[in-house]
Amino acid sequence: MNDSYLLGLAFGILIAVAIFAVFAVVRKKRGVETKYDERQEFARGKAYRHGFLTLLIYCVAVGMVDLNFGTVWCDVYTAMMLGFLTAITVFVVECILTDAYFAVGERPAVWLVLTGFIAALGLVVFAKDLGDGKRLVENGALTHITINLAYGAAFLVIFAAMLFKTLKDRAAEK
Amino acid sequence: MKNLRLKAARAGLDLSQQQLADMVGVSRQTINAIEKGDYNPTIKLCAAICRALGKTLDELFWEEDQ
Repeated sequence: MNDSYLLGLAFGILIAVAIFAVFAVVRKKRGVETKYDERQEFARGKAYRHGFLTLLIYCVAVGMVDLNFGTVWCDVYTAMMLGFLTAITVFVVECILTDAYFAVGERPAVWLVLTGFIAALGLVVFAKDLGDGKRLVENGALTHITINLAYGAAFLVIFAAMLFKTLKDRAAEK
Repeated sequence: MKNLRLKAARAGLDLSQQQLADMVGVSRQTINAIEKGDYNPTIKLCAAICRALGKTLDELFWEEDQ
């Protein structure tokens, strides 16, 4: 991982924080507050537990592979990010499927578009990396460009879950 | 077990699930889950629903055979 990658990573984090801050200010000005009802809070707690368990199982599995086989299948940073994304995806998808992801009165359309955009962005950046001659696997180990693929895949799964739930809800309302 | 009495009381006032949900401050899916029997609401939410529909707790939530 070189300096330009770290700089790009820091810039990406800054952009994400800035977007989050703009959303928070707009919501505050409009008087929109994130409020989950009692069923949603219960469902979110359950989903959080499953996400946390997923992360624990992943950490144990990665540790066991390293301890018993000594196989270097990717660097620590990539392994950490893959576990983090997997756990977050489990949490978000379960919340979406149990109608506990969007707060009371919140409309999923904006998030559907945003999620689709982030998924596409992750996959486009991954494709660009491959186009630039970077390799997904080097010396038998995944390289850090796997993270872009994982971001794209995770958001694609979340996007699919949102789309499925939105269409299912519309059909039920009819 | 489905809560048909809640559904009937809501329909009696010509309210949609969304309208009742807005009145008691929950999501439409939560009202749907209560009517389908998939979720047991707390006493606080039961009371709010009763107030919104002008019914008593007994009329909407008490099971005679329990």
